[in-house]
Amino acid sequence: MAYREISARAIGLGVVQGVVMTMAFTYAGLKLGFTIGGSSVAAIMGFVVLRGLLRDGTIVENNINQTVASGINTASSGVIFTLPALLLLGLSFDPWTMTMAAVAGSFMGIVVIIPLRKQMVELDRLRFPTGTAVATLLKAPGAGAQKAMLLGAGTAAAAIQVVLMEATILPEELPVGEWIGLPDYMQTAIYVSLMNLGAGLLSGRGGLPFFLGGVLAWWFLAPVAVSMGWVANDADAGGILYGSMLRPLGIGVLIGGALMGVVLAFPAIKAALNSLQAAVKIGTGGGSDELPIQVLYVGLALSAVALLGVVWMTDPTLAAWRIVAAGIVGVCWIAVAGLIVAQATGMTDISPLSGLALIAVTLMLAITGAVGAGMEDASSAITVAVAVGVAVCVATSQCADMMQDLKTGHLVGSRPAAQQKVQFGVAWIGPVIAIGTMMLLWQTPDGTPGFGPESLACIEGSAACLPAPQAGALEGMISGVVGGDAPVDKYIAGGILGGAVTLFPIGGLGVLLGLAMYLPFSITLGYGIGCLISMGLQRVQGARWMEDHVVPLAAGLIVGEALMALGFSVWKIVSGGGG
Amino acid sequence: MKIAAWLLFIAGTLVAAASGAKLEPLWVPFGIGIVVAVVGAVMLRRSQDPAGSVSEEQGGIKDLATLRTRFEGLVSQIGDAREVEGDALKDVVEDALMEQLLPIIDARLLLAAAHGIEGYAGVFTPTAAGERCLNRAWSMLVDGGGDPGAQVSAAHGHLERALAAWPAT
Repeated sequence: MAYREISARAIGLGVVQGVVMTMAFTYAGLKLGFTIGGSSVAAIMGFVVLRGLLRDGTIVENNINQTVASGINTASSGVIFTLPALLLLGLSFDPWTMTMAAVAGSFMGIVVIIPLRKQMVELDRLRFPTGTAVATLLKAPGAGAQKAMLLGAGTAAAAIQVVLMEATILPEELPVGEWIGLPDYMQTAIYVSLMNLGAGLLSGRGGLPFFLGGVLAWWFLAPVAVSMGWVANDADAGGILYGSMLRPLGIGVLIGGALMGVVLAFPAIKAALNSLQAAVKIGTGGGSDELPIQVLYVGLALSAVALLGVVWMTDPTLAAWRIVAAGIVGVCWIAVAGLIVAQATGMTDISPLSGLALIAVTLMLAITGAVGAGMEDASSAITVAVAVGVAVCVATSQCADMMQDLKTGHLVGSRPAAQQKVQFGVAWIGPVIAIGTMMLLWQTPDGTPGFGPESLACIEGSAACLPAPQAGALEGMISGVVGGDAPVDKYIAGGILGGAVTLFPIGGLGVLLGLAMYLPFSITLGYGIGCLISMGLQRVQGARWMEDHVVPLAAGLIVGEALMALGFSVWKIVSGGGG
Repeated sequence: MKIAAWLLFIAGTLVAAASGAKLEPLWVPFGIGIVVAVVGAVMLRRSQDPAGSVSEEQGGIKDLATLRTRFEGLVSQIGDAREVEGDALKDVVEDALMEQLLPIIDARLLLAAAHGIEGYAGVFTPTAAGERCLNRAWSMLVDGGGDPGAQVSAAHGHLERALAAWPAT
């Protein structure tokens, strides 16, 4: 009997879920400033429909369903972190050109992942906590009652936590620093998220450098900066430390760390490419398991052409060399950003999308000659920069999602080529839905902004306010760069530091340290507690016990929070933006 | 030597991070910090003991010879599994994945430390392909479809290739 993997019903179910989640996450992202992955939600729906209603769904068929669904909805974060900045700046743009940029980015994200899968899933064996959690979910029917119970317990605990937070019974953060008398500027609080804790539990020892990076940033650098008088010890100290010092330095460390990582891992990357060349000949039945390497080369070439087209269509008056440079640098940056985001999600489950988009926009503003030009003279250059930023952000979000799905696929025995083919088939849908939803939310009957700080709902402080915080941050950054105020020195210092620490014999140290500086300490601390608990349990109980007990429980924590967060997003849309 | 390398790396990183984080970076101490950190990192790389890169918790595999022996045992077990069917095959596959392959994967850095990334990749690329075939066989056995025996045979082929690629010591 044939083993069903790619099927019309799996793809159809995935598309329907992907479209609904894209609309919900676009709304949630404009409201909250972050989105969640949809893989676990889609996997549960796959259970209900493919295994429950249709009764003959297979594990790998469900993997295809969740790959399709998350491949579509992942575009929402790429779009909402970038494109609304143009609306907030009051600049006009052609939505179709921006959609083309987002679609090009979406395809580029999949292409870039082809060699990275081999390196990061098979050779580096990164954990990819969400991917592991979804695999645990998909394998639940055959994994035994004990694992299923632990998965269910974790899911229930996380769901209860989200409900209690929505009811404001639980706070968003536990101010442990305040409790033990640490100064405010050290930002010592724990982000209340069982999903975050679960990611730490799954990462274990591998995620510890991320935690130590947060310690370095907030328990060493912050006190040094204050005690040396670099930052005044007042109410603004934490904000200045984070926004003007640690975050830009962290972005530089991320980039330097990733680039040095490529240099050090070159033999493994070469082996991965060679293996892809050979893989076409060695399948596990039913054709090759790997997409041919030519797809990577052709995909990159087509992507470069598409990006050149986007730049030219956005500003046809731009000098030819600037158009060519923007296209080439854009594609190269997508490759680097894809690598960074794949490593970051593999090791911690967190992807620094907005920071990478921010660098892309800064690079494009430099190439288009907008740095220091002032807002009035730079409007078309800003539009070009954001267009490339949209492509980069969608591509990197696609990379992060695809790597998680491929990790899931590896653990349940799916064919990578099957997953990549269906993702190619649906990659265009997400950008269309996300941009369409965003434009609909922007339109209001009286012509005032539909979201952002200047929107009526936000001015009046109404529950329907969509502050678009990530786009607001990008808007502020663009204004700063165009006004000649980009923290380039921090990026350079961070890049050198990231390269140097990556020489340390622990893989990916620079990326982890950079990510810890880039994120608020509350997230790093909550995640670190998960890592420390995991390490303690592993020492006492051993690896097999961890796989049997901690993995399903942590998977449940990730799945439960994702499920409830989506539920609340949909509820807020249905109830007219309340909450 | 190793303690000195650690101290150099940590001190250099702290100095470079602090002077780089200042609103206007202090480039001279930053440069000194970077050089010291790089020296420490390189010393640590050179002093790396292959066995020291793996904790003693990893299924009792503490040296390359044991790793190789365990790998040969895994290949042999998967070879024998081609004759097994049904629930018994599921048990064999689960045992191979959790009891045999998991400790080998945890101890994989022994191979990387002894033979470099290229030697490691030569073995662990086909190993990962074999692992995926075993995972697929397990999924088929749970779903009751497909040909799990063929997947186990394919896994055996991949693992034999991995063994053949094992660098000579």
